[in-house]
Amino acid sequence: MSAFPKRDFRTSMTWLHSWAGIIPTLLFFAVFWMGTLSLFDKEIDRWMQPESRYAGPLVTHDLDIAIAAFAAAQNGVSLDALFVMPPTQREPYLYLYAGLTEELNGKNYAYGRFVGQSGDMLGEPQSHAGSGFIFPFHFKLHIPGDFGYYLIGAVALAMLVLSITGVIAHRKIFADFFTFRPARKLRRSTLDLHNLTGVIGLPFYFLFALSGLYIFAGWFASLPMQAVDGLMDKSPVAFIELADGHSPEMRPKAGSPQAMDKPLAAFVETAESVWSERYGHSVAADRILVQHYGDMHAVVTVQRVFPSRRVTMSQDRMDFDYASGKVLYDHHSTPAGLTRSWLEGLHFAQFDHWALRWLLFAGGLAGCVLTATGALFWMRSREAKIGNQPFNIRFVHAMSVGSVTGIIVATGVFFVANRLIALGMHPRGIAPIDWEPMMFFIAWLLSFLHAALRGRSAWMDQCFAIAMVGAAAVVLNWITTPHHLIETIGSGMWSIAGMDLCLLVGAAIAAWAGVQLRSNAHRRLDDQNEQHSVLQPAE
Amino acid sequence: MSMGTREHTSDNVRSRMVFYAVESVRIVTVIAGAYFIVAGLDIIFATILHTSGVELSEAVTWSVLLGFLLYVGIVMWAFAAPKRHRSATVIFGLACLLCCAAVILTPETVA
Repeated sequence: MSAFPKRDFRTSMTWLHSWAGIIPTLLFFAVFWMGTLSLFDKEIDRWMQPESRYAGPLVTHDLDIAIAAFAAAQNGVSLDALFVMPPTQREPYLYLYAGLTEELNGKNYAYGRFVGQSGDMLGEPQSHAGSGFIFPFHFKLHIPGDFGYYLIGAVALAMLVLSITGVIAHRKIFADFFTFRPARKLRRSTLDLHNLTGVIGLPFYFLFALSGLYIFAGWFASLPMQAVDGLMDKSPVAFIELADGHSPEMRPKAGSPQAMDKPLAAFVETAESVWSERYGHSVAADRILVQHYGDMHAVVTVQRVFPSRRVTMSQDRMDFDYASGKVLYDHHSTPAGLTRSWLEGLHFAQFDHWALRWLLFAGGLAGCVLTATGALFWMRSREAKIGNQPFNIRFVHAMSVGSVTGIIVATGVFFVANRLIALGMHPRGIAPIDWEPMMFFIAWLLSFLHAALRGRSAWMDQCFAIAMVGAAAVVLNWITTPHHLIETIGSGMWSIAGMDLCLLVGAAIAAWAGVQLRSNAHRRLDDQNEQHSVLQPAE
Repeated sequence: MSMGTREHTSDNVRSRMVFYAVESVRIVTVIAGAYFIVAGLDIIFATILHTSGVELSEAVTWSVLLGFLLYVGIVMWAFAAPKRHRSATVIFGLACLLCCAAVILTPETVA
């Protein structure tokens, strides 16, 4: 048989399905895994940044008092641009970020967070945590430059191709859907599981790949977008229509100073009342941006990006001239924009709907199982034909182990490293915030090496490793913070309790899988010995 | 693949190398060519929509959204087509043609 089978439509689609699948397996699993965790990135943030944990009812801060305290904390360096996010249930603090006019402590930006009732400001987070490491990992792999975006874009296109070719390759897909034969041969039950997770999650995989591509259309479709953007010069209607022909980014500084003593809250109230009237229900702003802070041309932008009870994102945005209070720009969704906002909102999953969030989480985990079983089936069917010796099988094996269990171990190590830093256990000379990602990548790399050296037993070893790091993370959280599991459940601090419980459940599943794999390996060894003694009877 | 069971005569190895080289070029042509076909069509479609009165941001949004789906269709067609080399050639030709057409439509920015 050649590398390319005799073709009719179905066989060529089967060929496309297996090769478009096996080549980016590593990336598929990484994206599914990190994307799934990103659904709870803010909860992971709370766990990894204990200073930002808060269980009480949400506090409405006085925006202008907080900004004044934040500005005063910058040692006389004035703000250039200011970005504010009010507290939400998942991020229970007022968040402030500013670009500075000159460098302060070697940085030209500053963070501030006001948690709970106290007026004390927390500084820059000491960990990248969920939203700074795990979330960006799933769309750019932390590769410097733009290459990561393009790589993940190619993976998303491959996912679209796989979603369709998969349906064609497994022609009895709906019969297969109701078939699961865990007791049958491993290769058969692997395929059953692949089909099951494939069919259940099909709309999820397709929509998330498509919406992911769409979110980064600026990269993946930059060619057409830039080309057509050129029309804007000739057209009275710009890509984003702008009042006065100036976006806040384009409006230059006046150069003359202006006292920033008017309350920002007034602009927010104006925008909210306009929107509430427009939509007939109460609407809250979730982003406030001030450009050219302290300049005569200061612009206040009030946005609503993530409505809490809707999947579709909002494009509501009002820009005000700070000096006069005049509305410079009032933008809301258009038909194509709404289609885009729905797809993007589904992918960003910032809505306040826990059942839907868990459903997407299940979809993400199903994607992990789909990828892993696909790779396993590919290997098993080739091993069955040609044995497990050839280099390409061994290579795919090591890649599969490292990319499936390896990345889970590495994620556990990432959590453990975070808590060990709290105990002062990290090398001097490396900032704690850099040490966590370093530990992640070291652990991930080691998992590939381990898989290459250990062969089949690597699956079992790494399952036990997952169980250990998962349990260790929970214990370390108990030791290093006042919020242990019993306390967090009791006080209703569900972000922390949920994280600890997920770690424990994950550790238990991994331990169970490890034990199963070990007993299977023993059984296989016994079978082999038996065959051996039958073939060579005692003299 | 049945590489392991084949006899490794030097002729066999050489013909296999040629086979893989040709196939790689073909696969890359399909993957990259399909991108440029879609890019060209996106530009043309957005321009047509826009000149017929649709807002520019809307026109680009629709064409890019449909473009991703079209890409998948083109790749599947290319691998399903009975004559592989011909489908790759068609894709290469179409990509050149459509990108040229797009350049003519939007001369200021692309050129």
